[in-house]
Amino acid sequence: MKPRSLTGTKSRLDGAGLLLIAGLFLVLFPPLHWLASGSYPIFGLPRSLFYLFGFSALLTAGLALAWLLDGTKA
Amino acid sequence: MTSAILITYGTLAVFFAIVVLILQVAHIKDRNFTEFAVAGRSFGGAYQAMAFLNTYLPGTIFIAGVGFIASKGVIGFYQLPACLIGQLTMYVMARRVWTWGSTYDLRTQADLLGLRFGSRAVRILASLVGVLALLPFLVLGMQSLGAVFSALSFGRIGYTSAVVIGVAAMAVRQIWTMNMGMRGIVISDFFQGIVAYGIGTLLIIGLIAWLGAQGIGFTSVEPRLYVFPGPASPVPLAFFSLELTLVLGSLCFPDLFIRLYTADGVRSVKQGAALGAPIALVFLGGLNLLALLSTALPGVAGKPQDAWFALAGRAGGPFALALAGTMVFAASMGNFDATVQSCATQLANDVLGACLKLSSRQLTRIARATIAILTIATAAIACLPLPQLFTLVLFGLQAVIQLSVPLYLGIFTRFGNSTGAAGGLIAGIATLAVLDLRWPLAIPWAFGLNAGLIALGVNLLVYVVAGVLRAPDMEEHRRIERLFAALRIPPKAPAEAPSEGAPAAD
Repeated sequence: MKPRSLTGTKSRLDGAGLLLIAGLFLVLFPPLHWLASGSYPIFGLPRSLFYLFGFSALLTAGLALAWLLDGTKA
Repeated sequence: MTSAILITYGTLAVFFAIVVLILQVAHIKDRNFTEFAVAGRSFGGAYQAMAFLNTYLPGTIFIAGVGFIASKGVIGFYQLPACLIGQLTMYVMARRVWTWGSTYDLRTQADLLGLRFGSRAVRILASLVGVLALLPFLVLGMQSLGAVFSALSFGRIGYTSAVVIGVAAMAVRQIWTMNMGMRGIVISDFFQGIVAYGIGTLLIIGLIAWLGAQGIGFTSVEPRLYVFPGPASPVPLAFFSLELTLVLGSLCFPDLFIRLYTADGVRSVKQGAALGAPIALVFLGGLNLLALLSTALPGVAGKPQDAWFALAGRAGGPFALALAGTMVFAASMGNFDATVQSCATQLANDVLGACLKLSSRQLTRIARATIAILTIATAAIACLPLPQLFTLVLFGLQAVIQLSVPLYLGIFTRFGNSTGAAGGLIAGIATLAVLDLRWPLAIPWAFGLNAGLIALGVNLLVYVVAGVLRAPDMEEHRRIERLFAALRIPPKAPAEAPSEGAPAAD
């Protein structure tokens, strides 16, 4: 039996589904919050802001890419 | 001072007049209840994006949200990632939710749950949980306008009088919600969204630049405000708890979920998410950053909830203050309209409509009357002193996430049954009620998790145990397979979609 998709009825997990799983990990993994805590600068941004804006930008770019590659017609 | 008040109140009056003008010009009579409830599934991606943001980001983000960051630091940034994950979730569930909605003429979240579990009890229960959870948000939405009218009067109008003015403005706006239903809300969301998040972003960038010109930068902010609670903290999971609650809660809110049905196709829902994400990133990221940097200004730490208006007034005088107030007004109005409309639709469609045989015209009349009753009731309550309102709002948020178990597992998997869905919801709400009385914020013995997440664990356990113990019989198995098989058929255009209603309700 083929594995079912998280996001549709195709037999594979599509890009948006993978992005959602990656996003949930980045947002909801407490050790990452603890590692990112503090004001030590990374590329001029305090570490906690670098973490927050970094993965937020990644999620946004990933969603835009998923939309551009999406083949939904209707 | 009088000319300054003319500028601030005049700007609000012009904004309100434009909203009313747009609604009058765009008025189309609803032909049936589906048109009233979900605007006949007729809107494209740009409208979807603004509708999502106008519901997800209420006016309180400028007041309570900014105030939270100004007093607690980066822990208050939780709304940015949660908003983006919410849009990603909307993107991922778009095909299933929209296709089932169009195929079976679904109008609400509770409608979908009733269909998925083949149960009228689940439908009614989900509807009541959603509506009751939203009621404190309606009162908060009304009250947040009080802060606008108070700040824009330069202290000439007391807070209580300002709340009454705000409540009156919001109540007048609901005349068009009653008449135009969802169509009027989505159309006004577009304009309100441009004002709140488009012009709002420009104002935020201007205010950050003004702070920079005052010599305020990242190093000016107290280092403690860059810290998340760590393993050594008594509440090490506080940030995780906030994030998880909001991530799970986003599409559990009936007012947000119903927006998926207003789209004219799956592609428009997805486009709405893809367009909304960058707007949310720039707007919300900018607002959060501004709130953090504003802590370096003298006087902000003492009154963090006034930071947004204080900053705008100091940087740009009455003109910037007028714009700042209009942003809050626009965001509050969009959120309130959507919330009151979705509550009324759910009560008509999923409570009365599930118990009585009602025609489309009767459902529309009931929903309109419910909008009027909810508006008058919340307006009256909002004028009262409510010291426990914030606790009730937190309770509402923790209650609404109980819907996430049947909603997400029901949409994405074939696992689960009506017993588990209804039993889990009841167990979750009961656990929440008991725990919340003792620990309304974080629970110390749970490392900072809130009562809602503990209740969610109980809810999930009941759902899983019921699903394992009571396997579906052949008829139920076939019904669920038919439901999921419908996703493989390209959805029909809204005008062609049959009004089959939810099949096989017990």
